[in-house]
Amino acid sequence: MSFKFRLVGEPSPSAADDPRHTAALGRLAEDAADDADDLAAGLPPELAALAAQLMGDAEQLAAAYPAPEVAAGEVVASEAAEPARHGDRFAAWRRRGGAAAALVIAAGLWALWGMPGNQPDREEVVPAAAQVMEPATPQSPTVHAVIFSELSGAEQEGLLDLLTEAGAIGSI
Amino acid sequence: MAIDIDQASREYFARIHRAALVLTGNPWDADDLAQETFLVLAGSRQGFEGRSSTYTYLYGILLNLERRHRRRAGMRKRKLRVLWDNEPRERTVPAAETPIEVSEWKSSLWSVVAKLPDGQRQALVLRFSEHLRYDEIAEVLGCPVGTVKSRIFNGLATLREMLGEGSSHAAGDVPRHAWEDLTHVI
Repeated sequence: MSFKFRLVGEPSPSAADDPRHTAALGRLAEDAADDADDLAAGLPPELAALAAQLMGDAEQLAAAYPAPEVAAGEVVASEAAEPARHGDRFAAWRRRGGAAAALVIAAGLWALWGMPGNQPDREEVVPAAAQVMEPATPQSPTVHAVIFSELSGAEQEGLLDLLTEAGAIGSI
Repeated sequence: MAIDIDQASREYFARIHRAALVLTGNPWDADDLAQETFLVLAGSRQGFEGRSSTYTYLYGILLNLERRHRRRAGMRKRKLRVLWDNEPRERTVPAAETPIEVSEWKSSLWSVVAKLPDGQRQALVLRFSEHLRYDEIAEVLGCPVGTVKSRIFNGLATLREMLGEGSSHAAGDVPRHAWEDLTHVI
């Protein structure tokens, strides 16, 4: 094995001049050709030609539109954003649940107030003992909750808006 | 077995993007699909059992996403066609959601491959764009190696017939619809 010292300032030989480099490039080119041949191996010539064209077209497309650079941690960062979105969703559901509960309570109170037996009769003097004995309400808040849940989203929002305007759930 | 998402994205993003580009025909959908693939991987990395290699697992996710994307696009296209048929013929402005493929893809054989059945199309992409071995393709598609070979053979044979019949590809870059030829403005 020979080794040649270079003087200071003497240009270094480029890699392309190195016969080993040229040989390696040649091997790479042969490998690529072998690879293409392998992929189409066993196919009739006309189908192998189509396969070769497909490979060439794929190479051209990939060269024309290379993949964007993925910054380190980009996927992890977007993954970390997921729980926050879940948190947002949970908060939204909690808000909606609170609004629905308030609506049910308001509707229950309204139903109780609206019943004929519950309105104060100014002409009739009711004994104090009779006022204590309230009649059972046929419509419970649960019934209203069920009816509310059967409404569509737009209807629910409309109803909530109406009740908000009426001041029934102004405290939400 | 957990996967290092960062490493996987560094190693395989370009490959997945390339497969997505060949499948969809435009770089924007390819970007979305490739990113979605890695997001799905990030969401299911604990479920990865390590029975397959990471990239075959990724190709599996990509093909599922692409199939879903294609189904949705097909449905949208049918709806648009109904609207188009019901509208006056003078209209020349393209619909906002009309899929646009880049000219390089439209003039390539991959645009003809896109018309093949799912199994053949996917097998051809994995073999001739992604250079996967038959056993790897079988792993991704979840079918025997013999089925993969027959899909590739039949796919190529159908492709040849389609080209022989003088399909749109053989006729050059003639767009299938007038409003699809928008790549010159991109």
